[in-house]
Amino acid sequence: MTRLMAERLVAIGLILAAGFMYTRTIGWPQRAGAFPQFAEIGIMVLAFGMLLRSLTARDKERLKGMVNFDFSYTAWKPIYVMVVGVVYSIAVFEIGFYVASFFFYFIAAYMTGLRDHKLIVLTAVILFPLLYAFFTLVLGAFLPEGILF
Amino acid sequence: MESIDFLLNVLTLANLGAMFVGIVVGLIIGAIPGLGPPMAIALMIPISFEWPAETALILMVSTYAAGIYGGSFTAILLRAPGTSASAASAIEGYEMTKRGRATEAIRMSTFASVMGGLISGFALLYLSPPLAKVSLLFGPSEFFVVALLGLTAIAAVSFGAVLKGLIAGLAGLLISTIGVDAASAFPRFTYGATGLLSGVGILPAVIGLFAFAQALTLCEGSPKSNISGTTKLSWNILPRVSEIMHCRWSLVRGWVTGLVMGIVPAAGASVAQWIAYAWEIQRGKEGDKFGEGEVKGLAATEGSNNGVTGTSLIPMFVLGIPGGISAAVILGALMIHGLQPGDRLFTDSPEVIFTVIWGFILANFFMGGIAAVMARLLAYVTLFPRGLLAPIIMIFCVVGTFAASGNPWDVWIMIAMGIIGYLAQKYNFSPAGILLGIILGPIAEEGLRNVLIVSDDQPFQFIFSRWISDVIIFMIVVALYYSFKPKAWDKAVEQGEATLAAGEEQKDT
Repeated sequence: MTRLMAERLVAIGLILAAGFMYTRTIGWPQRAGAFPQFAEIGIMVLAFGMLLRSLTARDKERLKGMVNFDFSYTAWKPIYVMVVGVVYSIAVFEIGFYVASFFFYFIAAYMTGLRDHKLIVLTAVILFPLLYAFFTLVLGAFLPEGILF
Repeated sequence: MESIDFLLNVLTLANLGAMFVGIVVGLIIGAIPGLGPPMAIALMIPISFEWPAETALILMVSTYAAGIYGGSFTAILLRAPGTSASAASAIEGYEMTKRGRATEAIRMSTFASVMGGLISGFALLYLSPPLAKVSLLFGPSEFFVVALLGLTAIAAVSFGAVLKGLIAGLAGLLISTIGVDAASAFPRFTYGATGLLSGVGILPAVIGLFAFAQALTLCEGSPKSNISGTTKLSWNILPRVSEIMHCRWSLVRGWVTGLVMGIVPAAGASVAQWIAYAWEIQRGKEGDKFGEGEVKGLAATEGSNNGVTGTSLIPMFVLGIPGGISAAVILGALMIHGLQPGDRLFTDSPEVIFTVIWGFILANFFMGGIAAVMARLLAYVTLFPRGLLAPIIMIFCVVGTFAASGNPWDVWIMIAMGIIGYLAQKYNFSPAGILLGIILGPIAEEGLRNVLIVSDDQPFQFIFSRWISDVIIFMIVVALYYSFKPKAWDKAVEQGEATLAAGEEQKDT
């Protein structure tokens, strides 16, 4: 797919999404929908502007070339870490902040491709006691507890 | 000038000790994403409960000034702003760090912040009564147009993708409407989720859009490489005359923006920094490289966010109207110590209020020295491998967000905003625009609603009948004109996104 076509698809997607959101705000009581509608109409108008602009010679020149589809692990690494991050944010409230963070730290560090075991362990040895000392002992923050502590 | 007599009151061991503690705590807590100045000040209240009023308040205002500045450390070094007031600094500051100019960025940030705080402190000392009268002139119409002025900043900070930037800003406005509508109590876009009823807070948004998204960006490329691309840091923290002269007008613009925005209730540093940044971009000259580590942009944002600190206390001291959350917490502390804001504060308790103001000025002065030492230590993080920094930042994002509110939903909102921020950055939709929309949304909506009520559904006639609104509308028109007008400095952007994308790929490899 060309970059120009991708730009057009993004613009159409935005118009459809904002239009769908607009339909959800119709009939809201006491002008509760007025401000969201202002934003939704604005998005539709600007996305339409994007679409029109993509028909100009300037955009055809600016968006030359193909979209680079790369399905290698390296290219998708941030997405995989993002998924693990989502799991971590749920696990924090199930098994506790410190335990979940401990596992997440090692899993995410290795997922990024880092293999310096000494540095990873040494940083953990310094990081977690510091986290506990600062947040739990000094600030007295009530962090989620689960198994162990 | 009689208030100078009160300067001597500050120079007691107890007051100086309180100032030192406030600065250190403010710098540390301000630097951690999520734990901003309001939390730091709130932590100081029980500690100082039985202290003399002036000592306790010196502790608070020192924490406040240092907290705003502390947020810039992580914004510059990691693109993970400690507070929403330093989000704009993350753009140019982090780009400077990536290019091995972290120390230069810290130097400029320190100078701009310290001087901004000092100027703001003197404005607080000498201009409180007249400036407070200006803030009294602000009605619903002015609040609405000030919010619109802030929104025009989105166009300016979009770096060649003005349409996408504005779309991002409107998306931010839309996100800001999630939750129960204040006027009708109608739940908007909550889809039955009780956690969304209170809406999307600024804190989870700023941490997600910048810090969490940045952690995901760090996962790209080689995990062994560090952010700065160097293995050695320069330790010359003292600002150079040549650097200051290069940015002198940017600094002045930043300080002026901060001073003015400080007296506007509810605007504060979060809005001031973007207006200062947008102003700076519009004033850009050929050869300036905004978005690629332009020190002038950093000077303006850092000058403005600390320029706010003093003047934001003016409406609080004189009228009892806090200029922001931090000022509201200080107002609480003021009242705990039996002091009532207003004219009588200056006539009945001058020894307290002027001592506190002088304490604020001195705190800004000493903050520079203490910050320089701390910056040396913090700058080491830029030498850490990216693969190690990414999970550490994510952990801090989670703990910082949760510690600030104790609400699991804020953590999940932060993660969602992080994913949105990462994808937005990837596809050239400005995350800064989304954040600005979220910050300004409630102000704009409330202003618009009040204008409609007051004007009996004749908003235009009402708005244009007020001279302050007219002046601000003129500023909006000028700002929009300069946003769409091709700038001397962005010829590179004009050459096409393809060139830029290719450059990014090369940098990563």
